[in-house]
Amino acid sequence: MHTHRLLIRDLTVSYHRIPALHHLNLELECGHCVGLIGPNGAGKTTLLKALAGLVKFETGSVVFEGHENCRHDRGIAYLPQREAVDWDFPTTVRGLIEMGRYASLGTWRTFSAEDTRIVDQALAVTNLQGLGERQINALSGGQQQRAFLARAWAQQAHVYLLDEPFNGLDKNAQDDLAVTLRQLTQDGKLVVVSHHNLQTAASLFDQVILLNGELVAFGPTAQVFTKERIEETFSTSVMT
Amino acid sequence: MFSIFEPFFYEFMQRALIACVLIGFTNGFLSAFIVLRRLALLADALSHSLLPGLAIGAILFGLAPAGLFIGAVVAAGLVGFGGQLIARSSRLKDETAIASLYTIAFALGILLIKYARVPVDLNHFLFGNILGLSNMDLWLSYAISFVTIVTLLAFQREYLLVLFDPTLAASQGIRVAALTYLLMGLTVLAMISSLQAIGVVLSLGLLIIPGATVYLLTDSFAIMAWGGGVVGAFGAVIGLLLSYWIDVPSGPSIVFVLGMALFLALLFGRRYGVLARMRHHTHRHEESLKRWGSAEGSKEKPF
Repeated sequence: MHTHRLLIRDLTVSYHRIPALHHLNLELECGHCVGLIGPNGAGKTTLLKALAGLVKFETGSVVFEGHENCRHDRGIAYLPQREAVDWDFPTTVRGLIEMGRYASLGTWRTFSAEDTRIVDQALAVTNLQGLGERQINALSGGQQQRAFLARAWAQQAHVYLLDEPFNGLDKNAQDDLAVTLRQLTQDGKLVVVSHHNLQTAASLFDQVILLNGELVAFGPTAQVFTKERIEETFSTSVMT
Repeated sequence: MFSIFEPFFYEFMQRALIACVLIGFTNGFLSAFIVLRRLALLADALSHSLLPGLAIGAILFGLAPAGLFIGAVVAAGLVGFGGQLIARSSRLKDETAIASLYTIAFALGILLIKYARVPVDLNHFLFGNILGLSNMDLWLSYAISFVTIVTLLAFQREYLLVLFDPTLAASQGIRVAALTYLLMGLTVLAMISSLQAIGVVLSLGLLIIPGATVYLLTDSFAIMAWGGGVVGAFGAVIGLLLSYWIDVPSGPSIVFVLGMALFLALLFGRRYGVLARMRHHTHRHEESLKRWGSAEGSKEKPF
C-alpha cells in the first residue's frame, strides 16, 4: 500500500495574537485512525482547521503528499461540528454528497456517470443506501455524521478531519460511526478525530495525539494513552 | 365598457407587465440565495442606501437612467463596504455599523433630492412608478435580468457550497468572500430594477418573500431558485393587474400579493407548514418509528 504522509512542522496558530497552538511538530501516516485529545481550549479545533487550511499559520507549515501548506487541498476534508450545520438547508442526502464533487468539477464540467458512480459508492461506504432522497434533517444524528463522511468520500479525500463527531450520539449511532471510521482507515485513509470522552478513546483510535496548546505526546494508543500522560495533558494550565 | 383584459390594451400597461415579469423573476430567483445566506438585513440596508445615490445621480445628470444607475450602485457599495470597515476597525458590531450607515445615507438622500436639477417626485423613488417606465428603463431591466441570472447559473455549484456552509466551501478551495461580494453586487442590480416598479422601501419584499415562500414548500435548492422566480413574476403581474382593477398603488399591491402567497405556504405547506407541524407533533412517536424503524440500509434503532 502506498503510504501518504501528513507532516506538521513547527506549526503555530494565534487568534488575536493569543497563541492557540505552539510550535507543533507531528508526522501522521495514512491508514490510521488518530484521536485528538485534550482539555477545552487545548487547540483541538484549531489544529483541525489548520490542517484544512481554514486558519492562517503564524509559523510553520503543513505538508501533504509533498505539497507545502496544503491550503484548500481537496485531498483533505474537514467535517464541521454538527451544531455548525444548517440542517434545514434544502438538500437531500444525495445532494449533500454531490457537493463533494463540485469543487473538482469546477464551473463548467457536467456531472458525469463517473461522478454518479462515486456518489453511489459514497452512500454504500457510509452505509446510507436507501436514504439518498431524504432531506438531511430527516436523518438521525449518526446518519448525519455519516452523510458528511460520504460527502468527504465523494470529494475523494485521503485525510478526514472530524470535530467531535461522537458528541450527542446514542450508543448505537456511536458504534455505527466507529465502524465507518474503521472502514475508512482500512481503505488507507487518514482519519483525525477530536474527542473528549476518555472512556471510549482507547477503543476507537489506534494512535492518539495528546494536546494542550502544545504537543504533550503522540504515538500508538497502547503506549501513549497512559494515566500519567493523560493527567499531564489535563492538569497543565492552559489559556481558555 | 370595463373588462378585466382592459389593462393589456394600453401600451404603458404592456410595458409595465413586461417589467413585472422581468423584475419579479430576477428578484425571485435571487431570493433563494439571499434567504439561505441570511443576507436579508444587509439587502435592506443596501436598498435604503440606493436613495442618496439616486439623488446625487439626479443632481449631476438629471433623470437619465445611466446616471441614476451609477449613483445607486456607488452609494450602495459605499454603505456596504463602509459598514464592514467600521465593524473591523472599531468596537461597533457589523449590524450596528451598517444600520447606522444606511439610515444616515437614507436621510442624506431625502435631503439631497431637493437639489436635483429637475423637479423629482420623492414618492416615485420611495414607492415606485411602474406606469411611468420609459423604453430605456425597460432595456435596463432586460440587461440586469440577463446579467444576474446568467451569473448565478454559471456559478451555481460554487454558490450552493457557499450557501450551505461557507467554512466547508472554503476548505474545498472556493473563494467565499469574492462570491459573497458578487452576490451583494447582483442584489444591488436587481434592486435597482425593482426600484422602478415598487420603490426603495418595498423592494426588499420582492427580494425576500418569493424565496421564503418556496423554501417552505421544497427540499430542493434548484426548485427554490426557479420556483422563487416564478412566484416573483406571477406575484408582480397579479399585483400590478390588481392595482389597475381596484385602483390602488402598484408597489404595495405587488408586495401584498406576495405576502398572501407566503402566508398560504406558511399555513398549508405540506411538510413545513404550521398546520402540518401541529399535526405531526401529536403523532411524533409514530412518525419517528416510521422514519427510523423501517429505513432500509440503516441499522439504527428508533429512539
